[in-house]
This record gives sequence, C-alpha cells and structure tokens, in this order.
Amino acid sequence: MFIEDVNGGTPPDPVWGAKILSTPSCISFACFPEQDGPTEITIGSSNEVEPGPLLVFEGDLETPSRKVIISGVEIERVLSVDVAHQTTKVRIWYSHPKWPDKVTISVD
Amino acid sequence: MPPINAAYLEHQLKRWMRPDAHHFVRPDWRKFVRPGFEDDHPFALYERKYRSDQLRDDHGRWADEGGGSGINDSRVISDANPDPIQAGQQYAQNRPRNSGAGIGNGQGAEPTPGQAARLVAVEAQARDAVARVREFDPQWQPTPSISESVEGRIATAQAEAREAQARLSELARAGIGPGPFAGESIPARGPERDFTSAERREINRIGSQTGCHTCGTKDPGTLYDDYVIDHQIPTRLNLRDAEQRLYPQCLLCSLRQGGTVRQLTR
Repeated sequence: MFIEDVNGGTPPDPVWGAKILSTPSCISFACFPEQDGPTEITIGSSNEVEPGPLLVFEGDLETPSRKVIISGVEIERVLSVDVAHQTTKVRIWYSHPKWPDKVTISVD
Repeated sequence: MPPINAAYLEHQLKRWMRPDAHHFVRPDWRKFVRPGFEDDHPFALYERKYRSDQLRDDHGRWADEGGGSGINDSRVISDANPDPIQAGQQYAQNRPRNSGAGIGNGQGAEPTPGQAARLVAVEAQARDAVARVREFDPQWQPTPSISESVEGRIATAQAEAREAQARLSELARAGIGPGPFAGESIPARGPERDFTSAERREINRIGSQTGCHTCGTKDPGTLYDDYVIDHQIPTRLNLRDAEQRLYPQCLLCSLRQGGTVRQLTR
C-alpha cells in the first residue's frame, strides 16, 4: 500500500525484502498476505488512533494539498484524510513484525 | 534451366549501369565474340563510352572519330557537359547525404544485397524487442545513437535489440513478466483476485516444483506457506487487455513487484 498526497507522489524504488520504504512524497508499506486474510488499516491524527505494538516508521511526508490518501497497486484509493499542514508527520505501527493484520497510521 | 536469383540480377543491373562500368570489361573481350559481331556487342558500348585516348574537342567533348562513335551516336551517353558552367545556376540538389530513401556503406557505393538483407532483419528484431519492452514500460527508449554507414546502422539496431532484451530481463527479475524461474502456469479467469480453492492448490503444486517464478525460492514467506498467485502480465500494466496467466510467487517478490508496477504506472 502507498501513503501519499492526493495529487500523487514519487514512489520509492522497490527493494527486495523491504517491507517499508519511503521518499519525501510517498511511503509504501506491506500488509498481511491477501491470501491469508484481510488487513485492517486505521488512519487519523495521533489523538484519534491507538498506536499498535510495533512502531515501524516515523517520518515526514510532503502533503501540499493537505489531503493524504492510502492506495494500493490495483486500487486507486482505499482511505483518505485531511491534514493540517503541507508537511505531515507520519507514524506507522504494525500488529506483527512479519504478518501485520492490523496497520495503524497517525498523521499530524 | 533454373530461375536466376532476383538479387543476383538486381546486383548485375546496378553493376553494369555504373558510370565506371567499363572497368569490368576485360581488354581482350573481342576474342570471345563471334567475328563480325563485335560492334554490336554490349561491350563495344562501354568501349565507346570511355577511352582514355578518346579524341575530344576544345571544350572537352568527345569528338566524332567516324564509325558512329562520339557525341552524335545515340547509343553513347557522354559524361561531358555540353554547356559551359554559368555562375549562380543550380546543377545539383542540395540534399544532405543519406537523407530520404536509400542506404549506403559510407564509401559512396551501394550496399551489397547481403548488407541490405541483414539491415532489414536486425531492424525488425530491434523494433520487436522495443515493442515488447513498451508493453510493460511505455516510456522506455533505447539509448539514441547516430550512424551513417549501413554497417553502422546494423550495429545500432543490434545494440538496440540487446538493450531491449536487457531491459526485459531486468523487468522480469522485478516480477514484470514471467520471471527467470517460470515454469508451468494456469490461465487467469480475469484480473480479479477471487481465486478458487482449485486454483490455489494448482499454484501451490507448481510452486512446490519450480518455486517462485521470479526468484526461484521454495519458501513462499506467507503465514500458511501458500504462494502468492501472480497475474502475468500484471493487471495494472495490461493495457491491451491481453490474456493473463497465473504463476506462483513468493511474498517478498510480490511486494517488490507492487513497487515496480507503481513506478511504471506513474
């Protein structure tokens, strides 16, 4: 899945074995294998979401449109949320280090 | 009598129409011709066209030596300009060399039939290879190069074909296209990922034999050791709605493939 501004960002170069990669304008993260079951994704401000057990990413994301979307390779838009600033601090928590069936994302 | 090769005939025609074709006539050709018929033989034409000791007038034009030779002989094509050169007149096209139709070998001579055939073949191979790459990566271009001679153009086309093949291999290693370890596959019912139990069993069977089609590993990396069922061509790149097939893939190659597809579609 990809987290980026609604007008798109530059996806990171794929690296074999890496579950989370990022550029200043796009963050890619792995989910639970789809043939094994669904993934629950939650996104919101830090005072809206409950952090998961494992913090796997913390960084800044360029959000010039002040709207963040989550999309997949074959899905244009899964979730979207408005943010306050043109640079947004993003944190990602996994429920499991290898097979996260819950992914929590805070955007501030 | 067997038919004469068309390429041979074409080559002979071009050869004997050259301005310096008289060089191909051996000096003692007359002893091979029936006596009395020498003047009617085509080789006599080449003799009359050019002789280093040909009588010329004050303007450089061939002069009549009798016997129907010289400028008034309708069979002779003179290479002397009958009119003096006038300043400001255009006597030739100002066309850049090698522009438009026609190819040369860089020395001002026509390409051989072999060269021409090779050029056609390698340019077709290069076009096909580039088209294959652009099925997955529409923006891809081979490295541009300039060549003037026909051998140069052959080398350029060969290099483009090699570059395209290298790009296809690179894409295959990233999961775009059947990978280097691809073996059996099953037809995809469609782009959806609503696979049946039978399809999942079959993909796992194939994967147990040949592994991930991209990296060859026999460890799918998933929770229950099921291979990821991978559409080829990846659905997001299947702009022509071509028939897809399903291959076993490991989780890590599937993740990398997703990133590559995202880059190719942005």
